[in-house]
Amino acid sequence: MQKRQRQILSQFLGLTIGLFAIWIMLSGKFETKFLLIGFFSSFAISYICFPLLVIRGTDGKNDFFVFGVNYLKLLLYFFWLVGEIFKASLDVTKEILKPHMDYEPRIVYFSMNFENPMASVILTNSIILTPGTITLDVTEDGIFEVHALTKAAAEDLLGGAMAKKVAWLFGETCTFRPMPEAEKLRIPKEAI
Amino acid sequence: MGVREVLTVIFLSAGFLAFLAATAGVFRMKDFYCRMHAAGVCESAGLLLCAAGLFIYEGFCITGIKIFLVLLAVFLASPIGTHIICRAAYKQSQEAERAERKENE
Repeated sequence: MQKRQRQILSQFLGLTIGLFAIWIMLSGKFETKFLLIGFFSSFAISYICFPLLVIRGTDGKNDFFVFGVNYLKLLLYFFWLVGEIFKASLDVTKEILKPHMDYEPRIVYFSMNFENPMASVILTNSIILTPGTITLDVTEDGIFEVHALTKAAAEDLLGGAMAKKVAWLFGETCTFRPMPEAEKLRIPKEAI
Repeated sequence: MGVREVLTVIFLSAGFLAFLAATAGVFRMKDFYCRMHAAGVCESAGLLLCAAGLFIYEGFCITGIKIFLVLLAVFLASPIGTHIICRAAYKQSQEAERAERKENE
């Protein structure tokens, strides 16, 4: 129990210090008055928001702190993601500028059952941020439903590089399982 | 004109081209989801290139860090909007299709 309390305290202090650093960065003033106001407001904000930032894992056993990520790994992941975004953007731009539009959109499925909900959030956000793939839905048991613009984008996704990177980022051990049998080539027309 | 200005112009022009291609894509693509893909190019690649250009112009100071914070905020928030719009459209279309099938039977 003692260990858990110490962990909560360090997370709370980390949140306060992070908010205070952002305050200093945005204000750019180093007078005592401003520093005191900044410290107390960041303390109050983290006191109010801290319970909201602790979320229950998908199997209901452990609690996870939302910002409890390894930031060095996160930075490496961010640079890798920027590279992926550029590659995918070039592909999509090529598809846009082709005189004959012959791309074949499809819906693909894969299963990745993360224990930490933040891992699902990061993976979903990364998939949407990469042009050419959009997550349509994530079910409770970790099945991702993704709309892909081209065959190449779908194959890239089902290769599982991005999902494995996210698992490495959060230290998860779940396995990546593509579901090619569920792939849909016919997309329901929008009902508007 | 120093190296920094030249790099800024190159990055901002590349960002402008990405925005231009994305806008063309929004008009050219054939259905709703594909249009969303085209719009995604402008919010990721276009914004990233513009932010990189402005960051190089400002250098590593408070304004540069603020630009980086804006980029981070957009990267966290804009996929959520895309996801919500696409999910709503997908669910609605699935329901409409189901209703149509029932009518035909």
